[in-house]
Amino acid sequence: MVRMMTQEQCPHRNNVQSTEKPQVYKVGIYGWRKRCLYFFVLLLMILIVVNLALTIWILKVMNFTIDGMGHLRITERGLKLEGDSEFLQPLYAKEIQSRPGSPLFLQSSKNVSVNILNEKKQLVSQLVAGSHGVHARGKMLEVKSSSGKLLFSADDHEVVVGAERLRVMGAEGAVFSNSVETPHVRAEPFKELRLESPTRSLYMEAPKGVKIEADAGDFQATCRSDLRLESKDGEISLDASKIKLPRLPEGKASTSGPRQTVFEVCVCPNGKLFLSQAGTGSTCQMSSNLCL
Amino acid sequence: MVREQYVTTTEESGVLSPVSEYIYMIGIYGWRKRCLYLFVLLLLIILVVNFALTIWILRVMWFNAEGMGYLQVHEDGLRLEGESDFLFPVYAQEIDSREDSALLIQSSENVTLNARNANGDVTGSVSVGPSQAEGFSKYFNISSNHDENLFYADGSGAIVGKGKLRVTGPEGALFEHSVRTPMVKAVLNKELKLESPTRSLSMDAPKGVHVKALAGNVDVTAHFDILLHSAEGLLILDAETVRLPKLPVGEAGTSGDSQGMYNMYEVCVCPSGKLFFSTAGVSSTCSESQDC
Repeated sequence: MVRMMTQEQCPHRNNVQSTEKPQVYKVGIYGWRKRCLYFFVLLLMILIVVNLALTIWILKVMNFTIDGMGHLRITERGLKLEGDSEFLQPLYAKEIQSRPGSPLFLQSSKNVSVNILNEKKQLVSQLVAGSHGVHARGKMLEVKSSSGKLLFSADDHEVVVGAERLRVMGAEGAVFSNSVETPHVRAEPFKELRLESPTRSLYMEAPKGVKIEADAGDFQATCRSDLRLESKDGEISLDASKIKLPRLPEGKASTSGPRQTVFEVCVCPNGKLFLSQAGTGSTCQMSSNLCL
Repeated sequence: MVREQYVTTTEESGVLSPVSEYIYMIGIYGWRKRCLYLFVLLLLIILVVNFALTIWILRVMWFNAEGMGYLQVHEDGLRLEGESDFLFPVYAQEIDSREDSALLIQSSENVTLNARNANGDVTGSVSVGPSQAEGFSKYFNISSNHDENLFYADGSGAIVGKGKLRVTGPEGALFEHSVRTPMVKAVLNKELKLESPTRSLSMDAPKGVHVKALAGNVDVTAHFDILLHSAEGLLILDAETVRLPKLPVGEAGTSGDSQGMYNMYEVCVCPSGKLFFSTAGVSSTCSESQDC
């Protein structure tokens, strides 16, 4: 305005004004400089708007907050995520750990499979919890207690149950197709022990000897047909102060027919039995040399 | 220049004066200049805000030359070298370890593998906890790398496959019901003991019970009676020597009293070895009685 007034005064004063201020210069932006300035400002505005839009777009897409992106926090030591996360391709990790005080779940609507591969990417061990069952596969499976003691192991050659005791509770008991190898078979306290072969024979075989003891009771052997005590090279000893043969048949006098040779049972002082041909009187004394 | 021309024209004469009347001074000054300044200032403010937002992004994301914090974004995925915290479920189809590294899964509480069916019910589960490891499923199966079954367990039983089952616990195996096996045998170079500590032990087999000791003795010991009983067949003592070591010796009484008071018998033997008895007399009566 000042300049405008100056300009306005100038025409009126004419020569006087012109003469008084010959040093005044015009100040302003005009001509090509003005157009450049306009263009530059416009360009700057466009760039700023685009940049701001891009930034806001980043913030929007990443769901930015003061601390992070949505539920994701990037911290100085790693990453923290408070919502669900989804990985469509394999997730590689060194360690998977639950938070303190919290359990860790690995679950699936099909199978959960833990695979161990060798250098050639071949499967060497596997544990599958599936919809149909739990399957473990490998050279060996071992279960140990906290103190390192072997409780269970299974490999190609054998299954070992190392716990203090293996208990089989099923009502049908245990079935072994081949053999049971053990130094000791024992009944539970206050229960009987039965060895039973429901449809066939039962064998007890031990080369160095079989010993049957009933320290507080009877021994009883019962059968329908023959009961045989046999000794190949030794003797049979009935070592009791009372021996009964309760159902021995009684001989009957026979007045006719040919007389067969019969024997008399004699006993040595040491209890050895021997036979002596029966005669009118006792013939044991005649044969007593067998007792020597 | 325009002004100068004007002055010059005035000085020269009226001839140039009409021409200069059409030229207007055009430039940026006055209110337009102030608006321009304000506008530039506005752009500057927006620029600073945008820059602050960008700095904020870089800060929050811990940007560096290679990525965000320890997180690097590659064309084929993400790579994180620090720790990541997932507070909610992680959905993944596959979790791998690096090729040269083990994968560790650990928790201060349980680690649980769950497999579910279409309805979302858990059908197979394996859980390892602070005090116990537990699995439940339709079945549990251990197989070797050659797909041979080593161990199998389901609701109706447990099966140990090829090889053998070894129980090494000091208390051995406890079967609450029965053990079904064709053979019970001793460990090599050890004795086999069948024991019922407080009750009886019985052996049943319809086709016969055989007790064999091919290089030793069979000993039967009882506190009370030893009973050998055959319902329909023979009782056979088959040995070269049969010994009754503790048989008591009868004492002679007065002849008259003893004869009248007791029936006495004599044991006789047929040639076939069959025993029978005969009424005792003053001398042997075997030859008088025959039942061979």
